[in-house]
Amino acid sequence: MAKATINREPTIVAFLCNWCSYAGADLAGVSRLQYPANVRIVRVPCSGRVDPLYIIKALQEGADGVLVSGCHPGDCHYISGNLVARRKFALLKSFLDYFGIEPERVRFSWVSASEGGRFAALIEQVVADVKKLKTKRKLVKEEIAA
Amino acid sequence: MFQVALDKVNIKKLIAALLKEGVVKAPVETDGVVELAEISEKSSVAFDYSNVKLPVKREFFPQSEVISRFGPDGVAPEKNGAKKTVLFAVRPCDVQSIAYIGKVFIDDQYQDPYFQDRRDKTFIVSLACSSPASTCFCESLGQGPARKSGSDIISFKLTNSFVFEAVTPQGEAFVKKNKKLFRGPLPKELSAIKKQEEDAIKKLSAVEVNMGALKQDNDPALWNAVAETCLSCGACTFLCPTCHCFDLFDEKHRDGGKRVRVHDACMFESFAKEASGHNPRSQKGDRMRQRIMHKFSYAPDNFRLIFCVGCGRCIMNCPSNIDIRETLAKVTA
Amino acid sequence: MRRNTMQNIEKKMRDAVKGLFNEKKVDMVIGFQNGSLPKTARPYFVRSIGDVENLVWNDRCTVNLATFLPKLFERPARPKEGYKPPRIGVIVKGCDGRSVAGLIKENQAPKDGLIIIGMPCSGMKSFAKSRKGSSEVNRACSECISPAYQAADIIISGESRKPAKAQYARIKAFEAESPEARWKAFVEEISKCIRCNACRQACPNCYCKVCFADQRKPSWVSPSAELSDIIVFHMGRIFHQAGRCVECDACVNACPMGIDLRLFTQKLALDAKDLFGCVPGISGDEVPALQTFKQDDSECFITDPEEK
Repeated sequence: MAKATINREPTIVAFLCNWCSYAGADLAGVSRLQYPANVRIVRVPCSGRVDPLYIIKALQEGADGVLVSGCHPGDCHYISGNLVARRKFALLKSFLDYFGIEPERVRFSWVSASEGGRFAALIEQVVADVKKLKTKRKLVKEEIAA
Repeated sequence: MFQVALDKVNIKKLIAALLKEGVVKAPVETDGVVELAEISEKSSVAFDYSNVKLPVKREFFPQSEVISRFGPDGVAPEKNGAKKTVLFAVRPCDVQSIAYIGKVFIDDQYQDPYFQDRRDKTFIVSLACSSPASTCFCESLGQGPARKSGSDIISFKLTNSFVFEAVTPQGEAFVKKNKKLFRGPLPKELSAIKKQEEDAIKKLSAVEVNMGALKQDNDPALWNAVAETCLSCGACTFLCPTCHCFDLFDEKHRDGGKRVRVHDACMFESFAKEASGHNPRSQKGDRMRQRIMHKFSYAPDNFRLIFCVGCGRCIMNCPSNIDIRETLAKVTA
Repeated sequence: MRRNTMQNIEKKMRDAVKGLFNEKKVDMVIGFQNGSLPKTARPYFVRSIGDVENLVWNDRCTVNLATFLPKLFERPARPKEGYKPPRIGVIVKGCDGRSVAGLIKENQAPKDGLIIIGMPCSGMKSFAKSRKGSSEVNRACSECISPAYQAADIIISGESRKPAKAQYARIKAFEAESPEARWKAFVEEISKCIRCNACRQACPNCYCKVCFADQRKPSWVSPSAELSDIIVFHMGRIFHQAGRCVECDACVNACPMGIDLRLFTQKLALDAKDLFGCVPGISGDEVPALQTFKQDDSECFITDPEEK
């Protein structure tokens, strides 16, 4: 192809914490709020459970974007899981940006169980940002070789 | 002895002739490091170097290679079509190593199709050593700076000219095909190449390799002492021209995957770990012993060849500076 | 450093080590001896007072000796009757000392089983550098903020380098380049990797019994040298150093391909410092950056969607 724009629907892998973000996504569904169908959700007990390797591996396996969402700081079901995660993700985002991985591809957010609308808006934004990217996925084997 | 000569100014014509035979790979210097790279007519080939960084075995046995793919339609062996290739100005020690590991990959019962294909399609023009590194000890192992076997043509670089000697029928065929390029060698050139070889041998590190005294029984205290500063990093193995162990890894994706052959190292801690979790070589001393015995005892038993060509890469690259020459002295005392 | 000063320091070091053996305070001391190649030094395990004369101290003592400690202190699976953990003396430069402090904090080496001997360091030259006849010290040394380990149990007196000032200048310059330029430079550098694992083995912080890269069934990454796998390995390994890397360049020195890993490890160290004030191993009692949190930790990376 002449341009490197994505001409297929992007896939976003979302790691959502069970107690807040996953419940928020569920509420968005129950409330019949429309949001793009590009997201593949993986339920984790806590955002603190998300190992940086999940994110890197998802990118290698073909995810156009990765989203991690947890409880707002102060509301973690396990008290401080998201607070330790906050440090980890700050470092990881900066680290991946530094190499040149597009910042739009790796996103972090806080969505509570009552924020169905916020979840829908989050997915809208993440998908729209990824669709605007003109660059290929950098870790996918077949795309690097091309 | 089919010998011809070429004036140095005409070397580009030779390279052009080699390029007609296939892809040509030769040593090229970048930022002070000499590596084997694909060259064109415009490239500057490095002739005055001790050896290329990575062993030439990688041209026949790459670090990673897909050997089959599997999916909903079953399993299909991969056709890794090799291209006709010329290796130019590679060292005799590396050329020997190809023949050595060739004995592992190709025998009466089984021929590794990937190795065989690459070997069949490669034409080797080696370059005799004139300035070995201080860590080279090829002669102590029966190798030499001007050893011909394994090359199709061996070349010698002199001050103003090159001398080429065809070793195999294919080498002769190439020389005949391109006879307009060459002239007959002068007597002083022939004596110069002999002197070059003698001078090079004098510069080599002399190592007494007393294979008969290599202890067959395990002596953990001795071997643990030899290996105590080893990091089990694998640099020696990956840079060794005769190391050939590999692992098979199945990369699985949603719709199937591929089986990849990758270089492996007996120096890695988990190399010999069994499915039960038991690791018969969990101690560094045992792994060091395995490495040395494989090269200096088991390979001679199996192939009547010492699987070390004295290139010295392991010595140059070991982060802990474990020197195989010292190791041999300690374990054959 | 002048030759006789270096010899003085060597003598003081040997006397200190002899003292430890005489007073039966150690079972072994890890230091350096002359290497087999000219102008090199290599790790050396001293197990008796007779070996002490082989210990050297010069500007070739590049290896980070802390890397040997976790394995030496590992409790055997089936300890023999009367097993006691070893008591080990270790010769350290500033960077090594910080590594040792990190290992103690992560319970890989017991404080009361170690005697840390801090040497004065004027900077080290790697083997590659000395072969080129360069008089420059390694980059890690010219950018070093702690040439001598102040919290050592025994401090050998002598003059060290002055701590560097603009330690992260190169990283900041790299950050200023465009993402595509950075990716191109990263790929060009990292594609030299042959997956030999020397960087991991030389790093004192990489002591996991089974590295993520070696895990199978399931596996995180293939052992192949395909570019994607090389990238995943290095991103994973280096990120595992977050808040722990002391920028000693053991990885850089061990790499047979001469990959400039420092360009990547330093970014992580800079972020840990800028975001969380974390400089591992300096004060000795700080909590590792990723084992704690503050209520006002940065949220600059969080996506706050605009709701309609």
